[in-house]
Amino acid sequence: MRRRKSGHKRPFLALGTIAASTLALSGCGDQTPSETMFTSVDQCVTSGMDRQVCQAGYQDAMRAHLAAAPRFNGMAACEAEYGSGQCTEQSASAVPNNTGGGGSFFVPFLTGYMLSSALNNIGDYYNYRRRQEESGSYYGSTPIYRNRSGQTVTTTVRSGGGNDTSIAPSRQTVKPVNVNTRTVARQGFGGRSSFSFGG
Amino acid sequence: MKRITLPARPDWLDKARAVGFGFHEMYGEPYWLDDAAYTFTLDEIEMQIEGPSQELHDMCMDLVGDIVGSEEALDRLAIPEDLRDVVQRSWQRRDRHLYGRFDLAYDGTGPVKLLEYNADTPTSVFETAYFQFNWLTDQVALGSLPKDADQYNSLQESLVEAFEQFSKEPIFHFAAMTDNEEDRGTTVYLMDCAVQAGHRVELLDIREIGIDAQGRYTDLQDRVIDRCFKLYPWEFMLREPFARDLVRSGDVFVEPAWKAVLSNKGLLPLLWQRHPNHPNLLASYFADDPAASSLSDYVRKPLLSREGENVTIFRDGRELISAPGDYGDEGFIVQAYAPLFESDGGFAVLGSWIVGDRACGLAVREDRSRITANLSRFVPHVIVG
Repeated sequence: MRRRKSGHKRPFLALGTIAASTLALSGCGDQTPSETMFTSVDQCVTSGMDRQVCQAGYQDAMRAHLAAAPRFNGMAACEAEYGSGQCTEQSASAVPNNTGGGGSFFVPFLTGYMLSSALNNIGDYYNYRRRQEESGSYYGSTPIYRNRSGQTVTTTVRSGGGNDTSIAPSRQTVKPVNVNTRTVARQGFGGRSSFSFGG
Repeated sequence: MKRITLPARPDWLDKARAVGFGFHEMYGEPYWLDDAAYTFTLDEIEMQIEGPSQELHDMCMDLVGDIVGSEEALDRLAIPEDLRDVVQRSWQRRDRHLYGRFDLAYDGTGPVKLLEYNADTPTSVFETAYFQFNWLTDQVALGSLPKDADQYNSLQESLVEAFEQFSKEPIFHFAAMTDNEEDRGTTVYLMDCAVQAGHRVELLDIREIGIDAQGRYTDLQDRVIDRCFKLYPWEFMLREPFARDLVRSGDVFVEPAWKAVLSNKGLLPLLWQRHPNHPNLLASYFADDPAASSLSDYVRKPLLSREGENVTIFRDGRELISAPGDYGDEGFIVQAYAPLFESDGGFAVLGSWIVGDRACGLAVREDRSRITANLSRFVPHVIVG
């Protein structure tokens, strides 16, 4: 049979429309939840996400946390990074697919999890998770930690499946994203006027 | 390649409205044609368009390293001297790129010819990937096209796949001139693809990008922007006030800064120099190159130009037609003239899409003028036979 040159399925729009207003997308409107970092299942549900998605996302984040939270040999080292009272001892036997033997180590508390704002129901969620797995990341939601200075940090969980999940990321792979700062100037780009900049 | 007419879908305007496709009319002129199409055979698509597009992209990628490593080449392309670091580092880091569109001339005979590479801010992506595909499935369902009619179009799934390759940890910001309906629609469509790949997204106007005391770009909530798609040309960004911070923070942008060397018409003479007489290339020279005088039918193009501005066509050494505009300060190239496919609809240019590093789709635009411009129309295509 001859090879089709078009995609396997009819394209769809996750946001529903390409006229989505700037306001709705930046969170001032009422349609699209822009805050998709949640500290709890309840907060996730309150923001309008599907309850099953919120629960599945939390469970996934917890599994990812157990497998790949930043690890420290001592409480002091962990607290130096994440702040006093923000760490706990974890038994190595709690790590999924653990092949590294017994003992224990110290990890920061899970302070939240991150989900895509396009997940309206559990069907979307499983679809999303399948895509993530295909692209090499193992879990459907990302665990969130807060470091000493309150910045949001995440770990990169990658897996080819199986044993890889028992390898915790080194501290170097943990980096703050979208940190809060103070803007000192705007309008430094976009000075040209034209009909359109696309070509 | 043929141009056919067929009945428009009776409800196509409602369908356009339902998905927010407001720029099916632009500047008071129809932009989307529902009652016409270009037809291709599978052979034409695979042998003349897909294959050569892949080869051209590979040739371009092969050339980037040489260009960014040569002061002479960067001079030729008018990359501002104090910002060459930005371009060079983005290439050395292999900053990930998303997409591009070749404009190709094809008159239905012989090999397609590369007119230019819109590798930085290509538009018509929503029309190609989404609306054109829906047109095909609707027309097949209506019986206006045969059941096995196909389209060279895996653009949307390729975009979703390409977005999956970017880290999902930071918010993926999208910046455009949001008061332009076409640019905003194009950008929101790409956001949609990013959402489907699992990203959190946020739209902002390119003018709303801020800067903090450390020279990091910021959004309206005073968060550092870690990754930002921009539908705004590098050649402008490199010459604007915030450019000074690109050396430190330029790695956040998609397309990356090294795309500035591919979306520049100076690429064309450099390609010709490297691959003389390649069947898909047109003889091209910088305007001050003595060899340029060997051409009598040629097109003069500014190094930096969009929407056909400041392009002049010469036949037998005489000016035939020219388009107005504000470009040209950086210099010109001349390129051998290649006839476009001509029909009742006018002159057609093929837009061949590259996503990531793969050729994956086709857009056809036609114009009454031989210089395809902002007012050209988008005509869907179909593979039959």
